[in-house]
Amino acid sequence: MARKSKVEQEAEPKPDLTPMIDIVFNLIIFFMIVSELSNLTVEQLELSYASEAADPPKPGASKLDKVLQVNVLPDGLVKINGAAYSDDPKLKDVHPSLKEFIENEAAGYEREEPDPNNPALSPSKMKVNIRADKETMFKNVQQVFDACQKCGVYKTSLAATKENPKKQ
Amino acid sequence: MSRKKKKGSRFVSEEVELDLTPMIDIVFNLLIFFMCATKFRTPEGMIESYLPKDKGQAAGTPQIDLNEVRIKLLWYDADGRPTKAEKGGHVVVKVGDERFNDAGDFAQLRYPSTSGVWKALGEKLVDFKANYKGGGEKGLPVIIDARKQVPTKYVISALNEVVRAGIQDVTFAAPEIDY
Repeated sequence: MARKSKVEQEAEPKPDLTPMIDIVFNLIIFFMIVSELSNLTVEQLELSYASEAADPPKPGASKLDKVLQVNVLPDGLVKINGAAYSDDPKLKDVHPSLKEFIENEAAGYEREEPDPNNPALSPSKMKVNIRADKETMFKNVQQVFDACQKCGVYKTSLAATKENPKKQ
Repeated sequence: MSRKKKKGSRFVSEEVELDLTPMIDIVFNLLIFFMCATKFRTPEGMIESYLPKDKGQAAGTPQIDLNEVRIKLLWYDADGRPTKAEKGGHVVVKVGDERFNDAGDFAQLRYPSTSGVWKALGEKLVDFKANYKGGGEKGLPVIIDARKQVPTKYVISALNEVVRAGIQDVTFAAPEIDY
């Protein structure tokens, strides 16, 4: 270094870092948004333990295997894709109707032949998975069951973890 | 640019350059952090709880199978009386008149467990299923009747025992009417 003249030092090629920084910033923003979005459908909840819980459908499954994830938070708030819904008459002006939402969703699915015992209702092929926090009161789950039943959605399931809990 | 030229060329060689190295270090650290923190959360296991499609609001009086098993998850206060209070209640599991635990006995309700309420309930269900003589293709009908204040984990524990016993006809009782 000491032997290099001033002219040589100035001529040293410097890599242009601007494109790399652009790319890296883009990547950061991408990962931030993805981690936000992935929390929307599946809320952070503590699920109940069930040894008999079945595995969820693999990602990339066909539309028929797609399941609508309904999250029930510990305080009883029902969230689907990050938005809250409720059929509670007291919350009519705060949250949109859960029943109407499920009805609209079910419209995109085929319907089965009505059961001879209940000809008024043609059951929907839609699947609904209720992810209820383990401490939430059962009436909050019942509210979702009730909305599904009224829309003819009968393929419901309750989310549970197979991981052994320390204490329940 | 034109101003620099006017003032003389000695300023050009001393042009201030931003040292980007620390920023790149930070940015790379952020990138690695977000890559590690992004855990694609996938749905967990699920336990099927199909709703009955042959019963509904328009169906009139549903047929009642006298052999049906009704698992009751009741909500009692500390003195062992039914309560409507949302907080401070205790779950009591009953099938018919048989009571599986006393109010406030949390050790009995722990799950999973090799003893306690759920094991006894599971054995009871297997017993009921073996002795079921009714018709119907779905086998023994079981109804889980949980009070609205009961924490969901106990309902799922009960449902888990029903599924473990190999019972296919499981339904949830409609919520009780407030009066």
